[in-house]
Amino acid sequence: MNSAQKFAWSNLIIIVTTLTLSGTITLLFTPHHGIPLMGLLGFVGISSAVFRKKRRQGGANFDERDRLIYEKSLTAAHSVIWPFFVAACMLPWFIFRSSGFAPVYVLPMILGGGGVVAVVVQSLAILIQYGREGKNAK
Amino acid sequence: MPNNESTGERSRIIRNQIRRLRFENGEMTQQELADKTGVTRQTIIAIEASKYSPSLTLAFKIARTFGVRVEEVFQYEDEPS
Repeated sequence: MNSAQKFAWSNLIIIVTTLTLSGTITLLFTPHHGIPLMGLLGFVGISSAVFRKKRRQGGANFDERDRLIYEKSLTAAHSVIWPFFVAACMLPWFIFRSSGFAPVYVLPMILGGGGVVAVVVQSLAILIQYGREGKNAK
Repeated sequence: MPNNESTGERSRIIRNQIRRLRFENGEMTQQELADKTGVTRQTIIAIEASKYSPSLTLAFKIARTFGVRVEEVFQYEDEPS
């Protein structure tokens, strides 16, 4: 497993753990107890530093194929951000029509949600691409 | 990432002789070839399995490592159905 795969797994584990913890606490107690736990998502920001590419002596650890996979994963992540924001803005309007209203804290939640979705898609894209190509690894 | 290219009627794939050439060159390991060409072992594995098409630069580096021409390492062929 290379550093990009570790980065992807780390992100997925952090996001799943945080959402599970936050959701459970919210259900058991109140949103005021559960939502602050979303701060654990901040660990996603340091996973790239923790799993940075350490140069192996006498060899490469990041090459043209890794760069291609990384670029494709970024493209996949960017391609879901716009549909996510369109859906987040338009679906409430379709459901509640013009008479509905949204609390102001929903806006940063949409922003954070877009970030989480992008990271999840990027991580899955990395793992799928390496997994698909690495089946013949010996 | 599939390397076969749809050409309408039949798909084509870039085959390679890397495994054979490695063994003909002193049973060179994938790691040794990776070190000599400046890529990771995972990339050599993916190229050998025809799961990744290398750049021209890397293709020439691999051929030069074995001391042969690029077309002796890589062939553009019809994919078996």
